[in-house]
Amino acid sequence: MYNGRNVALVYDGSFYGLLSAAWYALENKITPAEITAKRLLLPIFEEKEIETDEKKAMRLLHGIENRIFKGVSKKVFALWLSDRENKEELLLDYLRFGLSHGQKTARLLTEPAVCETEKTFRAVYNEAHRLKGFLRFSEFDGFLAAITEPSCNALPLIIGHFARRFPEENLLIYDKKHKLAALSQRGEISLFDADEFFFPKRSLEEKHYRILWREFYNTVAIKERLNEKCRKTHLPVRFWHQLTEMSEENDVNALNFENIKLTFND
Amino acid sequence: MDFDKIYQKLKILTDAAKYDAACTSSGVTKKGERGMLGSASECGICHSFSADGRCISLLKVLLTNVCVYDCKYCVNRASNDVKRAAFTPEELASLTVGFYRRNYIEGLFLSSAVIKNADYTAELMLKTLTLLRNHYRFNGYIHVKAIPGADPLITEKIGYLADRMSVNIELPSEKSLNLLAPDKTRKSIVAPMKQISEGIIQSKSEIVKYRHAPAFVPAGQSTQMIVGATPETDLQIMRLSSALYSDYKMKRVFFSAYIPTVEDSLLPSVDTKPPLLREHRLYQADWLMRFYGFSADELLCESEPNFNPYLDPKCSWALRHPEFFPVEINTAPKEMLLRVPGIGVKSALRIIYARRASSLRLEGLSKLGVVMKRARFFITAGGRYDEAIKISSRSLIESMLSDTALSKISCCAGQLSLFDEPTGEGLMKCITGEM
Repeated sequence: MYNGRNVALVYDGSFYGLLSAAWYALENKITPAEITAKRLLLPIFEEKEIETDEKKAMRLLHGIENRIFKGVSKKVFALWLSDRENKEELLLDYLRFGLSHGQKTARLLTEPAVCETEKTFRAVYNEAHRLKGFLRFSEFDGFLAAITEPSCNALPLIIGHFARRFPEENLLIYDKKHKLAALSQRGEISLFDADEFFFPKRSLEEKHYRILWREFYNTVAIKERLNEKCRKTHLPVRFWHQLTEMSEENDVNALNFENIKLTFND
Repeated sequence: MDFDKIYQKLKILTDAAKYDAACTSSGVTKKGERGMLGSASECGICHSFSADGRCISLLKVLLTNVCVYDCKYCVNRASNDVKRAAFTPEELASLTVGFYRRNYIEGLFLSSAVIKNADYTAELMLKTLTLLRNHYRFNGYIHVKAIPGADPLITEKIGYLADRMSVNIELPSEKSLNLLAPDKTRKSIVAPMKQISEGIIQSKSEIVKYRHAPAFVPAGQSTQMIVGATPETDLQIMRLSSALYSDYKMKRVFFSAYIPTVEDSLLPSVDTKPPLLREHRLYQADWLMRFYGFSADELLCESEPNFNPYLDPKCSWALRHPEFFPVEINTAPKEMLLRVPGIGVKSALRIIYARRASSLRLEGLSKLGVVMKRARFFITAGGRYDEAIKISSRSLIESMLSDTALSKISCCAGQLSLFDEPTGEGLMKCITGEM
């Protein structure tokens, strides 16, 4: 029934771009070989460039909210935020399944497309929850800055939490992996792409707080109960390099905290 | 900030506070507000995990470790030769804020030894909280240990500034308490506990009447007891903890495996290992009581007053009660689903949610988060058992055990038999119906 097996849909990587690609596939009843944000040098498939159309994207979101179930766009958004391979194809499968099954899609948790989407949704929100705890700010006069490398593009999900928590502060969170920066200036939120971030030298006070925190962290552990496996289960090793308590003090430069210099993508 | 001084104090007072088990920041939601610093979320947030695998959520310190009491099990006992220190309220408040702004912590956990007398100590704690809430406009989480014997008026004032309060019940029986903590009495511990639980009930009814009435200990009360220093059985401990939940409306009862820190003829010897597995079993049972609808007397009985070290309490209950099984997953009520080993609260809810749209089959259950390795012996779907039960070489009991427990047992016995009556094999037969 569906063709398009040798076509690759190329979108711009944005959320609306992804929805426009889904729209295109649904409208033309094709199941493309892939939907991707990366254009290959030597394309294997015939490439079809998708133009991002915000209007169509919004219509699609409204449409699926009505025809599948209320809240489905949150799942779709989480899929876009995730770093999983083939998330675009999964999205298309999910929408197609949802559009033919309607309301009960939410409950058909054993269907592969539904189950995988749920899993991804949970993984994205779990990562966001972990970041709320594991992010570490350093104070550079006038603003608090943090660098992180999360397993998915979770900044849009957490910046609100920090903006509400620190309504009188200027915050800057930089996601090194997804090249995204989130800013909250006294509660005003903005997001922008940034290739690199460099922070100024740490002040003496900042260094003191880091030493105090490390001392607290090391002292609070009960030696008779050491349990490395348990620690690593709850605090995955991939987070360790961003944690103040896990770093040695001569690592001041470990995360490029030197010389202020901002570079922006356009 | 006088860095060297604070550094020394932090080191001493963290070391003295680390044996307190509770570090949760849950139970209350506070949105951030203009002009304030901080917020709190119902489920709590863990900010780190220390080398012993415990969550770090709050800055857990003592205000001081100078103590007039001489409790035998405690590192801070007056007769123990350790370094002593005390934070000033100002030092502690500014340290908390400095840590909080860097997202190291969710708030403060403030406990204290008794310096001079109970009232004086409680007043210092009150001063710290007042500074934090009023001067620093701190809106994050604060957990305070009530000081037994302090003036109820001070305790009340603290309760209006803190999110959670706790009084440690210390030991599971009055006899043990008299023996090891001669300066504390059951009465002096229970008095503030009662005051707090009554204060919470009163404050809740006032908030219903007047929306802006101040909240008293909004995240509820918790307590803690030491396990393994004295001879109480698991059954006694579970009964005590269920009484604490029902009579004092505790949010949590914590257990802390006794770690010998001081030599005393009344205590287990200093080279005793902390009973971590026992503590783990008690927590498992605690969860079963709070979320799974089990009661203490279902899990243990007078003839078997301690938990099985090899089997978790839920599996052990299921094996003793074959009459409840099998459970048909497409029709069973939530209470019954929760009793199946391998089905947890989340997977039970997912089963109920999913089965309204289409009937479930055994193959789909692992996608809903059910641990089929254990559950398959106890459930049917559409009246059908798992085919694999009949051909599997793994026996029922083997499937209930963790791999470590399994390796420990199987090296000393060829045939697995944990129970005299009924045997694993017999049980297996009555569950699968192959009589």
